[in-house]
Amino acid sequence: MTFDLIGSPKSSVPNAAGHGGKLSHAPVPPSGVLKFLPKTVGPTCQSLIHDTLCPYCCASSKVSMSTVSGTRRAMRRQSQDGSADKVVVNLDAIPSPVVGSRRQVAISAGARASPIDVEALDDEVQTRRNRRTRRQPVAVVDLEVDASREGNKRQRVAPVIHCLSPERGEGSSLQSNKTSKEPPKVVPKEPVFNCPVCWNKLEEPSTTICGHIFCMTCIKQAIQIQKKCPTCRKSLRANNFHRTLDVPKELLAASSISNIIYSGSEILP
Amino acid sequence: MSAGIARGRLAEERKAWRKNHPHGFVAKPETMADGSSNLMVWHCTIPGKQGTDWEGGFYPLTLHFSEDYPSKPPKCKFPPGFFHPNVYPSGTVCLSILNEDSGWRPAITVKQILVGIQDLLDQPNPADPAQTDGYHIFIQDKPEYKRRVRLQAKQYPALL
Repeated sequence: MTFDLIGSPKSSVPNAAGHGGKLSHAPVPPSGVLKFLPKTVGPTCQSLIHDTLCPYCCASSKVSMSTVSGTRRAMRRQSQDGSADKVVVNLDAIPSPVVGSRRQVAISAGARASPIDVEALDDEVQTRRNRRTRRQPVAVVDLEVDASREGNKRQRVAPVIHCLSPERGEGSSLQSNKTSKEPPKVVPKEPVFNCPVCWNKLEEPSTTICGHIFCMTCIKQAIQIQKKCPTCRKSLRANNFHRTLDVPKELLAASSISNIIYSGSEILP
Repeated sequence: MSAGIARGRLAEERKAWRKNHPHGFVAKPETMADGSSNLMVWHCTIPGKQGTDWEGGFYPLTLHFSEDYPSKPPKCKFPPGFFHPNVYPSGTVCLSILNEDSGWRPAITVKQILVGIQDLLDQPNPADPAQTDGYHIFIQDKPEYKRRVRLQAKQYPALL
């Protein structure tokens, strides 16, 4: 029953059909809830769905069926109003991979209240939406959502509630693990800069006023012998170069930061 | 100081060359009597470009590096009497990128030098002649010039 109801409103949404197909790939049989969530997810969600999201959503749907049905009804109403569809979409966005690690944290905090909150929030949202604009309900959701996530716009809508629910926590943790592991592979190799004069690794990298980099000793000597830039032949005086920030170290620092971020997401789950 | 740079740079050049070099080219440091290699002198071979009168010839070239390399360019020499408007009777190549005062840059590599000289073979620069024989024939009698070039190509067949 619930599914049918849900299905009809979603069908009106453009993305709904696509999500349904993706859901079918997921290990757990797609539930009505799943259909809703996928809509908003968009491209990121799709990739995730196969691995973790879908299973998670499914689990949540099963566990909290009563809750879900309640929300669904609310959703349905909203959809009828026309305002609900967009809201649903926002909810889907929540599952985005980056957010994943943080989600769990949020989940742990809000998990207890979430089941209760979900229904209550939905009711509020619906009533408010009917009366006022969509945004107000969004603001209500935001208080919880923002704490858990970075994104601003997507997360605002009522659908966020689903994320907060305790069941989701499991699924989100799975996602965060997988997503967090992938990015480090992509991290580009640290480029190696050689001195164009001695062809060795730069020692005390120094930049000329024309922007070319050499070892300090190499550029000094080159200017002594031939008062020109070894790369572009611009005329140089003995003091027309200066030490450069240690490029390799800078790069190292940047990469280490990214590593910390990724590792952090891994640790959280 | 400079000696260290010159040899170190040449060692790196050699490494890079062994990893990758243009087809048909040879560039190898001189081998001493005792079997050691002298990085300051390289024996090279430049193939004549395909589709030109120089095709089929493999022209021996010797690079003499100074202790001031790479701040100063190497001296590049064909065998004495080499027929080309921009080669001195001694065989020294006259090329802008090999001239410290005009085009040389320490960033220029051995590979660039050799490819540059290969280009020079079929594209002589009459504005900067280095020998009377090659220059006058090139200016006054193109067919004869082509004949001399082809003849010379036969004098330098592939080593194998």
